[in-house]
Amino acid sequence: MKEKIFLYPRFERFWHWTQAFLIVLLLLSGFEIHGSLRIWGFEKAYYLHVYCAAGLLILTAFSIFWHLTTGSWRHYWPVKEKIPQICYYYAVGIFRREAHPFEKRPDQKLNPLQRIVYLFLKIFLYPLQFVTGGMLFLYKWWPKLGIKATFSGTVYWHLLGAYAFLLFFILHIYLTTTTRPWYNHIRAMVLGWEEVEVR
Amino acid sequence: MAVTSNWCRCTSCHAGYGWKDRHFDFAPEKIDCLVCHDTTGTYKKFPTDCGYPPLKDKLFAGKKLFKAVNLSYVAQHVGRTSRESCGKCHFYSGGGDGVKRGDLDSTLRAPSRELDVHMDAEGLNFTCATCHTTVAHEIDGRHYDTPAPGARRFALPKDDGHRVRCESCHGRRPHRAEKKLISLKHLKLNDHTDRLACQTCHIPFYGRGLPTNIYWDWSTAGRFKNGKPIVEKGPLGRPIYHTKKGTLKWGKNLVPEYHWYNGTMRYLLAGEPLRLNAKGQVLLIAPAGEPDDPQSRIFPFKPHYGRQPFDPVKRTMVIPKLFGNKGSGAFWTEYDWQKAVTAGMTEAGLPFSGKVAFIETVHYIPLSHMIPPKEKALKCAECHVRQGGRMEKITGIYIPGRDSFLWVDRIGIFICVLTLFLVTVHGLFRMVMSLKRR
Amino acid sequence: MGGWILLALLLMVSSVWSGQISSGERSYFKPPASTADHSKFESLKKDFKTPEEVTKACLSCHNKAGEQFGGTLHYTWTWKGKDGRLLGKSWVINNF
Repeated sequence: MKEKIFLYPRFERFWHWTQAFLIVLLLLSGFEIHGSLRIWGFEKAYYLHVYCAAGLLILTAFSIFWHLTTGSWRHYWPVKEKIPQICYYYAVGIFRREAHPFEKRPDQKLNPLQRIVYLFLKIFLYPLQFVTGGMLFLYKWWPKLGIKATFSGTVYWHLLGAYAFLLFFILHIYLTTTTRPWYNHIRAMVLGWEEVEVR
Repeated sequence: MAVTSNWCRCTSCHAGYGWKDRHFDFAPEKIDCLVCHDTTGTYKKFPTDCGYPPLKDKLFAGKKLFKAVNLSYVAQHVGRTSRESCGKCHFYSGGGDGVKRGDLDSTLRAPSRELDVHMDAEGLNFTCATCHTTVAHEIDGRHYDTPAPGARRFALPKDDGHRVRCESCHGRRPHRAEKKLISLKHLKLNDHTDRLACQTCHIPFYGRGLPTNIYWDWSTAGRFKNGKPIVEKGPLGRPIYHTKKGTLKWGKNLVPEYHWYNGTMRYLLAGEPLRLNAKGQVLLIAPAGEPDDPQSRIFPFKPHYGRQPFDPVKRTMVIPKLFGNKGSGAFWTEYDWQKAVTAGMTEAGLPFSGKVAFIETVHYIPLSHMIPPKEKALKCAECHVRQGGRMEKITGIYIPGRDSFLWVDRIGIFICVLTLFLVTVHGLFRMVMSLKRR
Repeated sequence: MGGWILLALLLMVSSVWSGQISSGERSYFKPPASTADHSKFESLKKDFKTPEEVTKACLSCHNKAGEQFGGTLHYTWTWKGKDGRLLGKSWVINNF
């Protein structure tokens, strides 16, 4: 039996899609600055990168506020249960039409694997990109800010972070389709309501 | 080549009278006040008279008439220096209009805004001394191993009138938006001033006025046709072969070569052990500077390549006597390098083995003049590009867009492509399984 | 994070302010009018036979100019290098 549950309030949906849009632009413009792509030309790519980064920074500030005040941060608290089962599901069970071992509920929207990955994203990858990116943007002020680092070393870490984001992006997009119908998760993120099996 | 042994030809550009050998008497009355302070444009020094102006009408090289200078008239009309007066010598360095510098030639007498935004005759109309500020006849500029005075910031009263650097007027964060409070573009441009000289972006090309000499092969000089000297003109209207000079190459609108530069040049003197670059060319005059020196900047240069006599036994550069009378050994009258070098080295008091051979040399000329309007400055992507950018050969800094971390890129791309492949396979397998089920 | 952003913004704004110097008035670089008309000086109303005579006449009023100019590169073509070598136009060589 199927049931519709409300998972994603308006701010979360806005946050998610704006963030997705900005990250795509940041990846494209960032890799253009890095010399890997040619889309807008170096100069425009640079401006786009900085504007998108500033946008993401503001969005992130709002989302931190949101998570703290609404208590939504609890969704990211890591749990140990069912991780092997979930791995088994994606490796074997999914092909046999087995049910997902994790049951989505409004009070636990994210499965344990998602929790780990998103938490890593929030406490490690975002700060890494913001700090290294901000440093690169302000590199002229390092002496005044008391920062001792090399430009190329900072680029190195920013680039590692960029590849990590790209990897996340590929996996994330694919995993959104691993449901029935394949657009179920995506529709939920647009409308807020998701159809789930009631067991 | 050198001034030594060629005095009277070279010292026609000396601000003095009668420097005809090493023993010139630097007495005050030998100073030439008029060459700098003439405002009439009628004072010209004769090209071979050791700095004296012609006092009666005289022909140079049997062709060009130099009119007698009316000393009283010129003396009664002295004044400040001008582009005209400085240019009398400085436009013609290297032996002709625009030959040596690549950023100074007679087109700067009344330049357009396009050619020189500061000297623009109908605009700012700077003279040379507007920037080459002068205190008590001491004219600001780089002096061999001593950088131009002043700091890289606005010139202040404490700088005692020195205002020769770009930063003296433009400051160290010179780019700013006309209207906006904050402009990302200008912020980023200003960030560049720690590693780039202003000249690097703002002199995108040199030789924009007249053609400038880029290669000079002295070894072919001295050929005659039916006993007559040869002057063969090339497409730019400049000689590509000249019996006195050899084979010459010229260029217009050329892209500079970039090097780290601390504001001083390194000189190789005749008689000193050779310093060669990676191509085996002798570095006669080359920029000094290092990427880790906070005073050094990336700077544009005109490289001037030459092939000129040296001593293959002692392995030193030599001074040939070019200018002189018959019997003096001068190359331009006897066309014998052996004799010319013997005469030159004797006068210079330097040892010479007696053997003459030719060697490739390079002489770098820093470019600071002929700054076009800001719209013509280099754009980001002319340097921030993986290959073929202007900064391609600059070492010691990480340039985004040019540089990368090869292994980070390789591993990063490998992992991402592999993941893409795996999820595609996973997805296809899901589709196959669900089709089967139907 | 917030303080850091604020600091960055402050730095940006202050850098923009520090760059606010009004663009040069064009007339600024016109040389000031001369304080002397040299055609009126008796010492110059002569029929000079040699250029040295002109120099002497100049130096009779500009009595420090000879000493000043005599020490400059434009006159000596000699520059004592920091390593003790003699540089300057009359000592160096090039390929022109």
